[in-house]
Amino acid sequence: MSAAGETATHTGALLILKPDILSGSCARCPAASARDTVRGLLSVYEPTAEDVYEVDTSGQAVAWALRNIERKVRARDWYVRTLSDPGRDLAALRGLLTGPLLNPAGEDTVRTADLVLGVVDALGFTVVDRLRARCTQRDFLGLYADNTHFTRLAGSLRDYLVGQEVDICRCAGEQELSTLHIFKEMVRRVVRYPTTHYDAVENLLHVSDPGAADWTYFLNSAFGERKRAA
Amino acid sequence: MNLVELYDIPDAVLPREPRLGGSCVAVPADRLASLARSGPAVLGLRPGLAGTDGFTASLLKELRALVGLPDGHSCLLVPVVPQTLAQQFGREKWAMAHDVVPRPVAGAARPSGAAGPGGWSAADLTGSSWPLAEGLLAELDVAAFCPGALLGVVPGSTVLTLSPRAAEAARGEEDSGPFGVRALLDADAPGTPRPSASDLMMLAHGVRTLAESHPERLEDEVGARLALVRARTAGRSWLAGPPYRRGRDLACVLPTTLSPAAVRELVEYLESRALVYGLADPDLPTALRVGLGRTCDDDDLVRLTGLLDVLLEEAR
Repeated sequence: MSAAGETATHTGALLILKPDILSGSCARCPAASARDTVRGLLSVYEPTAEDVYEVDTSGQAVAWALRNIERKVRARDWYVRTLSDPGRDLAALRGLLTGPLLNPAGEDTVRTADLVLGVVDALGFTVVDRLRARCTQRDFLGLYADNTHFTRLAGSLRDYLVGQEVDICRCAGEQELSTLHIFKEMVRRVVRYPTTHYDAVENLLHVSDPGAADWTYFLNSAFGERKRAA
Repeated sequence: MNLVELYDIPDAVLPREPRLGGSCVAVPADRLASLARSGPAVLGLRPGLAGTDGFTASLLKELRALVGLPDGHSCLLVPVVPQTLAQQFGREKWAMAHDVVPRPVAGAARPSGAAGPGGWSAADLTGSSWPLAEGLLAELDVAAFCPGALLGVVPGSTVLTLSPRAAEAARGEEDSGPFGVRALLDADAPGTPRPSASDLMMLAHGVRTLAESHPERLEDEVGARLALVRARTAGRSWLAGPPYRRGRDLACVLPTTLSPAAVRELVEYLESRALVYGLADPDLPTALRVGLGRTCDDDDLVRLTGLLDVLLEEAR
């Protein structure tokens, strides 16, 4: 989503899990793809690391994500490939590769939402508030406030979102906010590859930075003014 | 004006379709779907092939039948807005000599009444239901209308009809160039703007849809929507008078007690948040124009009036 500008802090980002990460056809993903997502994320911060993936399509998906991340790093001064504590953060991410979350006993799949929240936790964020709600027309407009994709894709996105459940997580942590955006680029592509460009970039999850219009909307409608929401 | 934030507006008053203003057109999804469903018959083919020419001829035949155009009249779709076409007419000697520059109609009077020298007449019927008025296009030497409001398709283009004598006079105009009426009438004129196959495809769908869905009821339907808007805004302090309709416009005017600056602020607020588009009317800076055509759903009109109440502090 849009940048927070000078009002940004390192706490308070919103992470919005969209319908198909909750209950749609991709509510679960292969555990191997989940692990490849983490490997792809590691390759963002450790470009020299060996790219060995378990799923055939992951190499291409990661390469696709890296190209887009590189494009955004060049285009936006707030979008950076840095970690607040690289040693700690990378170790936590590597821990996911061997930990129980992405290696469930007797299961070949994991909940995609668990993958997302596991990485968020590994990056040092804490989910301090969480609300699962049905997306209204107003939420849809608030979600895409000031978004350049809105006018091009509004019709399709409305059909996709309105009336469906979304999971709104308020995250806190002393971590660079770009990590969430970068993770979003990776998970969308690795767990959904091969797919259409539209599906890959618009589905699954949404990151709102503090101070952005969509962040302000959800902070008030979901967490600050629940009783007043229609 | 102290406009509220989106999160303070009840979802129940947010229109599902934002293109409700009188100066925009909600192109219905079924018009767009026609491109995928029927488009492969002609999309991508060059003009001149039997399939494309046959399709265009069939479309114009249906359009002529819908608007009751006599056989001798010419009918074509031009890919420019009516104002631009009127400027071209204003540059042509024959059109000036007979005073047949198509100008927007105003008021409820049947537009054929304003005949020029020698009994010639012209009108721009854009945004109204006049093209469906029985026998009107047959009476006019030059008629133009954008098909957007009436058919829900191809905003930015113009349906142009010419009487036999007008077409003959236009063909006699020399040096009018590739954008002249003479070139528009000549299917083989090089460099002359023509509508795209996708525009023609959507127009065909719009014509067929209206033709098969009781076009004679359109006026009554528009009247019913006006009554709905009036009922939903009755007694509001922000209204300077009851909503009204100019002639056969497919939109109504809501005169407000707001200043022009306040109207601009309200319109910008609604458009920047993708809530409602096209409510402004440059000719009526203190008024709002709301669509009443078939692309404006009754439920959305109710939502819109509720939204105006919230924003203009009636409901708080």
